[in-house]
Amino acid sequence: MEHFLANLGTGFAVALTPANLGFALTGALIGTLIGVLPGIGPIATIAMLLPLTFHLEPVSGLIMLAGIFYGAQYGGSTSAILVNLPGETSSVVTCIDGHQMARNGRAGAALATAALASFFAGTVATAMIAMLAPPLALVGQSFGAPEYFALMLLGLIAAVVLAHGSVVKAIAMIVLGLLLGLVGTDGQTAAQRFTFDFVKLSDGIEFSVLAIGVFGVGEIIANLTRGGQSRSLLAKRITRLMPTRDEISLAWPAALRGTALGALLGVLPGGGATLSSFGAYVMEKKVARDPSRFGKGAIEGVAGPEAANNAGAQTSFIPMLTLGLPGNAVMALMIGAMMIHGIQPGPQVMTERPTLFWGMVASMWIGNLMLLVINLPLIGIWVQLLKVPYRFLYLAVLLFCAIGVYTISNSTFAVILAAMFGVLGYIFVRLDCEPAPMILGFVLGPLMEDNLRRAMRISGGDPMIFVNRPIALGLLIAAAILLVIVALPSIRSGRERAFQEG
Amino acid sequence: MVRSLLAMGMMLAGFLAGLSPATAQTWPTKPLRVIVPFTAGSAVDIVARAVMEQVSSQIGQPVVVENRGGAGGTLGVGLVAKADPDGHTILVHSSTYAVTATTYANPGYNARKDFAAITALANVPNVLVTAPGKYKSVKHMIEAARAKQGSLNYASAGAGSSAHLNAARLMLAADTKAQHIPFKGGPEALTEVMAGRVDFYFVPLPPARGLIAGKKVDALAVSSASRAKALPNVPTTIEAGYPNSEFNFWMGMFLPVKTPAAVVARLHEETIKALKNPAVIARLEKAGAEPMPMSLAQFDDFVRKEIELNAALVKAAGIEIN
Repeated sequence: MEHFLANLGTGFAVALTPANLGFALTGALIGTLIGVLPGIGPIATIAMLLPLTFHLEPVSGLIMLAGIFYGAQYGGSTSAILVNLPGETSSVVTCIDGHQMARNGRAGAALATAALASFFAGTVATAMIAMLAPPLALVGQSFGAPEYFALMLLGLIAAVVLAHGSVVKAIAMIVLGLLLGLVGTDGQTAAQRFTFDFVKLSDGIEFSVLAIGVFGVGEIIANLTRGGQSRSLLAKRITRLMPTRDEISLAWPAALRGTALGALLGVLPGGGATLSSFGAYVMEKKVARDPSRFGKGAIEGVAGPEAANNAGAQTSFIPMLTLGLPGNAVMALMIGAMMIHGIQPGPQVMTERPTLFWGMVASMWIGNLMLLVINLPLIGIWVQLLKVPYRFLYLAVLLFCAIGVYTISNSTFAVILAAMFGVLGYIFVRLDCEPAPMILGFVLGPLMEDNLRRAMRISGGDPMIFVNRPIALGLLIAAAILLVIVALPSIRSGRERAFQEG
Repeated sequence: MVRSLLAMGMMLAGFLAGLSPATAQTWPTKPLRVIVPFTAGSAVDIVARAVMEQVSSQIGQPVVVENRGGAGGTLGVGLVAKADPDGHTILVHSSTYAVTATTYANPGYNARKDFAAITALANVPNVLVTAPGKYKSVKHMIEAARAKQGSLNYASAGAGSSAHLNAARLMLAADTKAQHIPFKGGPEALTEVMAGRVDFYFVPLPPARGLIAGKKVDALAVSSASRAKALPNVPTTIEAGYPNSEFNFWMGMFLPVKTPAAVVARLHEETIKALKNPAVIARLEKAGAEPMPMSLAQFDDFVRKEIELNAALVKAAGIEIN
């Protein structure tokens, strides 16, 4: 323990220099900004700033890049809550209840909950990294292709619970998502699938294009068709900005559960982080006394997933910090930045460069604090935004959507595609089909397929690989149990209502 | 429809470019766009950024590196093939350029004709890594593979990637077989090898260096013709007893073939200058890459030979062609 405190002391001594505090603030600020703007992702931003870090102290450069990463993770929830625009996979879930809260005049409370839950989760996860990084890295390594496949299957079945409408519709949406996820080049044989000879489709459909179209644009069309007064984003008057005592007592246990789940899943580099916010939402809906509140502005539906998302964002640094293996593209860039400075990312960074390692760990906590400092005062301003007459607001939102989608691949094709998905999103609204399960199917489908095929190749075509590996078997059993839980009410009574509350 | 409009646009742009003979004197007139057909943070990307930052300060124009991955890198190459041949859109690719020339029957460009080869930038040795203690040597591993044909498997960063062909080349040289398991990227593949779930992997040195030093994986051999500076105690696959098993993983720079000769010469000159800059050399070496400046004629010849060599290898290894 003494050793641990000494290490943290080393870390804070590095992270608390005025220059490094400045880099953490700059990173968090840039990250928040690009997170709030739909479509503009952290990868492009970091890639552009990378040459700048050649001239900085390595630890300063990394502190700034890390700030951008979790700033962007966090910033996405702001636009999700305010205008139903998910910028990142994780904020899709925040849209479900966060935006409903905004419509109920509780945007301030939703934003504050997101900020506080994220900060809490970030603090806990950072402490976990400081104390448990090496054993947690081993957990991550124990996951191979069969384990990931089983985990994704569990996630996909859980996706049914995301919807609060009919189960049949939810399943249909998941399957549609899987199909959309298939578009593009097959990773194993490079064959083209569903690309209809459009070269632009050979990389598959970009997540942001689908999410911005179906959620953001679809929502705008739906709002415009309502006409008159009800067009306003606000169904009720804005009440106080901060959460009420009742809301807090609902939110903090949710944040706690979300943190635990997110921290665990974040350790898995092959898509664990993607599942964390979805998983947390499903968990909240299952433990809630009155699940029917979900989808109508339940604060737990914001607190849990936001905490899970941020905890996962922090612990996803573990494979990188302990082994030098990046869990996502942003981290790959950070590794590039390290190598340019002659630091060999790998297990020895921790022992050979303690100031760098512990400086980064300390800066993670500081970065989270910065996010709180930046975002809490902004809540008042964001909420005022909702008072802007809808006829102006929707144009601005559409414009930002178009810019964001365009910048992803600098192509107008993406903008046209997003517009088409917007129409699809509107059709979903009219049919009462919720898009969240579709997004999950879209994200998980390709990962599942990859891991299934990889597992089968590793085993030489023997499906027993899924049964012989304890973790994979455990996850498959969990998936089977969940399937029964989801399906039982319909088997028993055939009453639609029973599982509408799901 | 979209395509034909695009084509018309290109033709118009090409026509306009042809109208201004001043192009060569004034290049560069705007920021350079460097297309790297791999993800950000990959070895090619790191080398491209390290070199282009120096080129940028020499020519006084910003350089924007764009990562356009997908379809084995052919999408990014196709993009440059169709760009205005005015020297403002540059391709930085790896030896995969010479591989996809064969593995993609119709990638939308002709790797043998559509590009002017500028220079190689750097080469990175591939290292044969396995789980710690799994095999004592390359010989030991090959014996295991021979004991039961096809029972060993190897990771790669995708079908037709350098790791894939490198392994295929060794299997061919050793006259045995192993099962190929493609991954999305290097980190995932390394995790599997580390855990011993996949038997071996020819990984570009940079991402593996820390893991080798930390004894998380064993380095059995390097694939280059001579030993890597960073791993002086690791033999080459040739030294390990397998002639004809060397494999080069290089990065190089290309322009659309219709680019004016003066622009080609100028970019070549600036890039060579950058490659000889001590700061760049140091940066590349830290990243595990060795600078590889070449003259225009040398690199052109080198690329042609690489394409033919890989074509033979793809055929011999029975790699599927799309």
